[in-house]
Amino acid sequence: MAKNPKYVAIFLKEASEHLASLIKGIIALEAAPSDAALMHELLRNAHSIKGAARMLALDPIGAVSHWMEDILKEVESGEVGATSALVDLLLCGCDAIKLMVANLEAGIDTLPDVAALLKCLSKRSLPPAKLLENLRLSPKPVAKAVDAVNVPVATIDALQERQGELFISKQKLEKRLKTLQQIARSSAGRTDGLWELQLQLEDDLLELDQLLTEINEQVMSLRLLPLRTVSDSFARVLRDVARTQGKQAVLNVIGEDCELDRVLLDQLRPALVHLLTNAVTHGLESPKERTASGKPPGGTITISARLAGDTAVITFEDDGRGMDPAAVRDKALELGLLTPSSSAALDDAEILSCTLLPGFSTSATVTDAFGRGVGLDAVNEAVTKVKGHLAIENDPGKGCRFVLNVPRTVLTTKALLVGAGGEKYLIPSGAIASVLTVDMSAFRSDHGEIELPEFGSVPVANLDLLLGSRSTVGTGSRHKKPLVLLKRGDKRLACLVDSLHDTLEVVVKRLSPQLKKVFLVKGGTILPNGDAVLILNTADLFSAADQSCYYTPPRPAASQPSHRILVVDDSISSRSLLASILSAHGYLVDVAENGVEALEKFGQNEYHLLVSDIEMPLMNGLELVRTLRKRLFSARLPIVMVSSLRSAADRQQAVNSGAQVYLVKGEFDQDVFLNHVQELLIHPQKRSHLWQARQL
Amino acid sequence: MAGPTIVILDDSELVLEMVRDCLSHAGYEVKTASNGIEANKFIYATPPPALVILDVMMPLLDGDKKLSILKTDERTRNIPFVFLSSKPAQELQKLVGATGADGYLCKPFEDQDLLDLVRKLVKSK
Repeated sequence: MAKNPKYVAIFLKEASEHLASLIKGIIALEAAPSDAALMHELLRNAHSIKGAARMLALDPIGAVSHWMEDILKEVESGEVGATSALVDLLLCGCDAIKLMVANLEAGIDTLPDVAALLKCLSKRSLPPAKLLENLRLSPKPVAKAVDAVNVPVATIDALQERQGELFISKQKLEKRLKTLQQIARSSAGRTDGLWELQLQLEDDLLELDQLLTEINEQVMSLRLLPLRTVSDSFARVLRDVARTQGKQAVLNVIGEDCELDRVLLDQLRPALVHLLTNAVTHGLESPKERTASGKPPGGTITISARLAGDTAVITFEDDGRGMDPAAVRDKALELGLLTPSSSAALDDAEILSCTLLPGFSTSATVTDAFGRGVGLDAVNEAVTKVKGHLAIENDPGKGCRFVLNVPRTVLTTKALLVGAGGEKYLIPSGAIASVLTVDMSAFRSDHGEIELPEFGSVPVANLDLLLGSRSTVGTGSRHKKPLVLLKRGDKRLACLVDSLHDTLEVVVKRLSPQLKKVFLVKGGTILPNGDAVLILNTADLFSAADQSCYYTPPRPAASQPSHRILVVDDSISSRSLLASILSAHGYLVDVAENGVEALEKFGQNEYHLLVSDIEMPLMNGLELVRTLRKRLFSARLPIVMVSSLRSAADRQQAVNSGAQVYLVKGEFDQDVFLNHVQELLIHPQKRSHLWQARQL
Repeated sequence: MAGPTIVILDDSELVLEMVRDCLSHAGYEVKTASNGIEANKFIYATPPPALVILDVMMPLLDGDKKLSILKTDERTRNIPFVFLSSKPAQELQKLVGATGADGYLCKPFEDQDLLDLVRKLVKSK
């Protein structure tokens, strides 16, 4: 059979998967030799590799996998036991296949001669390392560059581009729909068929929008991988290291489905391997020592991962002898890392952080690569590099635990910080074509366009108006106004802002899934100074500009005093989103994190309306509302609850406590929210029966 | 116009591709499935396929066991079935006898052997 490259590619993919499964399974077999299901799976893997290799006339690979299949059959039938020696042989077979697959991957067609190797294997003796090395015809794989990803970046880029184009297509469709709607509404065009069509198109567009949102999420998730992609190979590493030192150890992985950014996993992998070898080399005692102290002869190493919001917590634990604080202290003093007085100030738990300092080592003997020092400082460096944090929890005699706290993603975006309508926003730099200052006195707008040197006539809009503000913060007699020129494909939009600030590298925090995709907002972030700022979705800005707002000259400042609203929520993203929406519409907004803080604010200022979450620490929303209702000044305060709890009972409870409106975060609609706020400010006593009735 | 429909069930994408390439060039309509549930869609279709090729070692249900089930079902018992496997020929022969399959083919196979077997068993319309 000719080696068709298409077939070879499929073979390589399948062989790698089967190999990984084989290696993992063979090690597991050592611990559970009578697991029939595992046995069957291993046989199937070996059989599949054999079959596929033969189909492509890859005889050496076929021969080795055939041998493996035969051995596994003998284990299954009970003829031989899955001893450590046999497992070593099987792993050797896997290594041989792996090397030959690597050759193919490197594009080398020649097949090595496995006769000598097979001779050893059939005699059940472990082939010398040289025989295995001889199989390697391709150069040793170079350690992957730190910022490399497994999926071709071009693929992800292309996907994102398509996605962008889809958005533009969707916008075009929306325009057509508008025209159709106008025709359908006019008396001349009003026929049943046309009206029907218009409604159907509306539905179609909603569906399209939904699909695009999902694609967006999927593309984002391309960067996420489960921990198991890294931890799957650890069982083998652990076994090898333990065997070299005459120790026994088993690996336990919890939370291997936990998803982290690819790049992050790549950067943490060496650190985790290091912790692994370190735990075996320095943490675990020999089987003899362990039995003497009443422990099982084999040690257990547990890696567990879980997500806590935007961080991942990875713990690395062994049940060995733990660290000896006295030895650490002595070494630190000896190395001059501490002075006697500073040492005295640190207790036993704190002294352990010295092990994270460069050059530290308590190993009595320097043997091979595993024996030297520990390079815990290398681990610490890797963790701090990804903006994480490493902590040590020690239990002398019982074991040691390392806790890594890392951000889930290293995705950062460059964005320009601007001020508009009294608020700050971030505009992704990728969408900015240029930043200019224009002279307002020379500007004339009849068609909602501005003439820019280099760019010609482009549509122009006030950013704060685009974001929905109905009143303009008076720009006074400012003659020069900053302008950010946005680009989307070959479309341009000039956005007038109030002020320009720095370009920052920010970590994009996606809004909590409870707040559905909000038009105009891509996500949020926390600035170095602690402020929460929204990152704008520029595609939506283009949409908004198309639909309505163009530049309008500043109106005289509104004569009516602005209403002051308090927003209470323990979630930063919810808080800033709600506050932003309200202030963009001309309200004065204060925020509080919980009921207690809210009451403090009520003591300092007068508010016309309260927007509150329910589930908050210290004092929740319901208690807050009840407290406020008891006080004279707030007995009639209009209150809007915004919560993720959606049951009728929760709603009723909020209403009984005294809230007038109850909105569910998962179904949050900006316009509905603003309508309620506006209505309540005009008629504070009105209860939204209509809303309640619809929801129940 | 597409020729007779042939269904191939095998958990290896490589096998599916090779068989599909071989048979579709000869004018057959090929339906591939990598697990039994996917395959059922094609096996239980109306009209039924002209031939079903089954791998033997499969993750959930081995091919020979699947065939035993299909042979008891009225809708499918008359469809010609063959095994395609890298098990040794004698074993496959035994399986054919035990399950009532209509033939077998060993992996690796020559394209010509596959075509000959198919031609023999598929009743052309």
